[in-house]
Amino acid sequence: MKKRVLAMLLSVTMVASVLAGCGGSDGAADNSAASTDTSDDGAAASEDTSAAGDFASADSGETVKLKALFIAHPLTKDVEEMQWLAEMEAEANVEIEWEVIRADWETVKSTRFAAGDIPDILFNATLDDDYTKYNGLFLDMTPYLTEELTPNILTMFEEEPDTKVLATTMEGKIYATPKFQGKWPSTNTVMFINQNWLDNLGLEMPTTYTEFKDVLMAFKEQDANGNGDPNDEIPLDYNAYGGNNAWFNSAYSLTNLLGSLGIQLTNWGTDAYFAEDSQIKCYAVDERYKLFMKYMADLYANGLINENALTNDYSAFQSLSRGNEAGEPVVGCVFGWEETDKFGPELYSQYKPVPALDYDIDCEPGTYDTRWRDDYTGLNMSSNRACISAKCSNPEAAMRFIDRFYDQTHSVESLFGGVTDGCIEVTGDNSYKVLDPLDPNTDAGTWKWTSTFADNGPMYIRRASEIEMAQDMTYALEEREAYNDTIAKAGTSDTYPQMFMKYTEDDLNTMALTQANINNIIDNQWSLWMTGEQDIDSTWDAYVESVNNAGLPQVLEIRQAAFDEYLKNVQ
Amino acid sequence: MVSKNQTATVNKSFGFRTKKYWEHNWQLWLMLLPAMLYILIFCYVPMYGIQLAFREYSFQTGITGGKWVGMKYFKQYFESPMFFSTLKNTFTISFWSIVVGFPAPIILAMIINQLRNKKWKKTVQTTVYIPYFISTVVMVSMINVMFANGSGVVGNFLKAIHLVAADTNILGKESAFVPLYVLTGVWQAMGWNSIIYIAALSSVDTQLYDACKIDGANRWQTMIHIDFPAIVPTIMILLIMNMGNILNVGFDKVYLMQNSLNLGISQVISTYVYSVGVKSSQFSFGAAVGLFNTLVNFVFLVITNWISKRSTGTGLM
Repeated sequence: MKKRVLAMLLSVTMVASVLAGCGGSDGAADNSAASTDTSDDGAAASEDTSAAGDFASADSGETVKLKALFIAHPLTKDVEEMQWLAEMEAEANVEIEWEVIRADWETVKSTRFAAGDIPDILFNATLDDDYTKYNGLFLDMTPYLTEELTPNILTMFEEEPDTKVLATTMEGKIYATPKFQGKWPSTNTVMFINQNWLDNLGLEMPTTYTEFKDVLMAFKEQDANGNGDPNDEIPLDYNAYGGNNAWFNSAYSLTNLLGSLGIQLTNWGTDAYFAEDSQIKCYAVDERYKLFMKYMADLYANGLINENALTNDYSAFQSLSRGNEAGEPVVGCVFGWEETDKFGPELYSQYKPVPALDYDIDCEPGTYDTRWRDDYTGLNMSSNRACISAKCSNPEAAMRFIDRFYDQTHSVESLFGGVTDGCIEVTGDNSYKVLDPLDPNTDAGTWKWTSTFADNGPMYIRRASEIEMAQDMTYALEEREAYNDTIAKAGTSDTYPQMFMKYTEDDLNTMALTQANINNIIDNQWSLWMTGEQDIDSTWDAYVESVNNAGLPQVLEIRQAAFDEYLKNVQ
Repeated sequence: MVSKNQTATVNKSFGFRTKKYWEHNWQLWLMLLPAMLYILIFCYVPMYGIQLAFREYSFQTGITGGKWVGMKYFKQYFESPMFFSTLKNTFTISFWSIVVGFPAPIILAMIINQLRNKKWKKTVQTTVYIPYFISTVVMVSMINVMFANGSGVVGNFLKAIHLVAADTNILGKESAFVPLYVLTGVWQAMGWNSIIYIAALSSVDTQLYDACKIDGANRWQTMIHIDFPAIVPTIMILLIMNMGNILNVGFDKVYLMQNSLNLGISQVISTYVYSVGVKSSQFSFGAAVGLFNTLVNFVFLVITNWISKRSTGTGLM
């Protein structure tokens, strides 16, 4: 008898656990159904908003509690310690519970979004295609962009119409607010050379590919840094490691030199796409890229390019430029953002920018119209700064809070740090001064990333605002004077700012899949050519064919259609 | 009448036998229950997600709600230029992993078993299985440091003894990837994997060794004629299980060891699923490729099992 009872008990528990297993999956289905429901509710609610304008103001009597997620730079300090942020919360009458993620967001994002696990407000967390992919997860902001709720955002849309174009989807919806930080320079990258080395060896600043190679040869063969060891100099260094097709996408890759062959890159030239006479092309299969790779293979074969750069990550790349243990410079020529950031306080004064080189291998210099990468829109504008969950209980309060970031002073605080935090000083009606870092051991660039949202935050820096910036930004702007004339050559027909392009979901899926296949070929081949593992001439045709077979023509077609549409809007 | 009576007896005896069986064995089933539940809940129930491979994934309707597209994603994979290269790379890496990695622990176990000095034996055993506890990330960082071009200790040693040509970038060369992957894997897992064989060897009847000695066999002959036959069933079972994993190249180690230079050999099915399925959010495509991978594994498992049953009489099913 006892045994039978036990057996029954066991079978009951077993059945129950099976049910529980199924219950779990049902629950998930319910959840996703619920999220579609809320999106409907959201739409319904938004229709009411105009009528319920008084609801928003009635609401403001009581502090609204919201949750927010911020994808921050790894250095960023605890956001709870940011005084300016607390002030903004008080102004908008909200209380935010913050969640900050500092690394690897890309890897957890898709699972979190697919599970619908998001807080009320998300900062710097989304990309354009997330709104189509996770349709119904995010709130369409258009009904909430009103004079009453978001005066500052509307001012930005009016004064910088590009930002509105950037934020609006194909269907005319706005899921996230963009930013505008107008004070940034027109290119991300400067090519630096060690002027002391040139002087030590009695060399001139190179202006062409041939002269450049001669200079690098001299760096390699002689004791350029004068420490008695002629073999510790690394003539040329670059960064192209990190999984994400970095040879084509890193800001500090050797592909920066492609401009010398007349290829005008825009906004980091993502995935090797560029525009020429209003045509979208991929330089990875361009004849000029072949010439470029031959030159690189020649430099590599002569031992002029850092061999370890292939496997050095970004931090190794950065630290190499800061010299050896004895503080002596070991890198002759390298790409960077700004000299104090790249070479550190001891060595930065030795390095000078190299103006864009002319291509002159087997031809006269000037055969190709020399260009330099134009990153102005990429550095100064970006979409997807802040978006709101469709399930947010009080979108009005969330919008009100987001709009505070676009206030004239708060925008500057968002970028450089708070007034009450001691990061900036208000020196006039519309003028500000960025103060020295409170921590004497950090440089201004690092300090910015530590103490505030910096470039990751929402902001609208007015063109009229006068900002006296820290030393590093002054340097950054000065260094780029060497490139300004070259960059100015870029016109509408050869500027391809990819972030302005709008695609349908089907197109996005095709592009994602095809690009992964293309990257797999091109991201492998450049290194085989450069290191001399494969001969360029004999493998080029097969390579181009395989890239085309992987689907490049389809991608170009999709991109061309979107670019044509964009050009129509611009003109 | 007679026939009716007979069926009744049969029925009764069947019921009786079932009852008797449960009375005898219920404790065993009870002990088995947690494992069965675990497999049911975590292996069988989630299989409903397989349908994702045949549906267009849509965020709004979830895994089970997307449009049914049949074999679309499989076709997409088979027709993609990556199909042969990922399949070939995966197969190459696992083939060498099994060819080199499978016998290594067996040989190690037989050698350790022959060691007479107890203390020495324990030391060796512990030393060889400690690397197993190094996590993959740390392991790959160690590889990157020790084989770095120019400064890597092990890399430079191999070049000094002319095992590797002086101008090779070990971390970058395609042809060096598989040996590096396989041999570091052997170094790491050999000791751990040998434990099961050492356990099997400890069950060998010591009388056999004595008889062997009397017959004048040396160490080598003892190993071949006593030790090896004793662990053949264990070897076969493990081989079948390994074959079932032939296309399951560990994702993390390959992914971490990837760089642009070795991509031609290091892009395996699992890393491809990650870069397309997860990073580019093509969930259905990823699911289809993953399912294909599992099917191939299953086929290999069945074939090896069949061969093993025919040739040695040991098998899983």
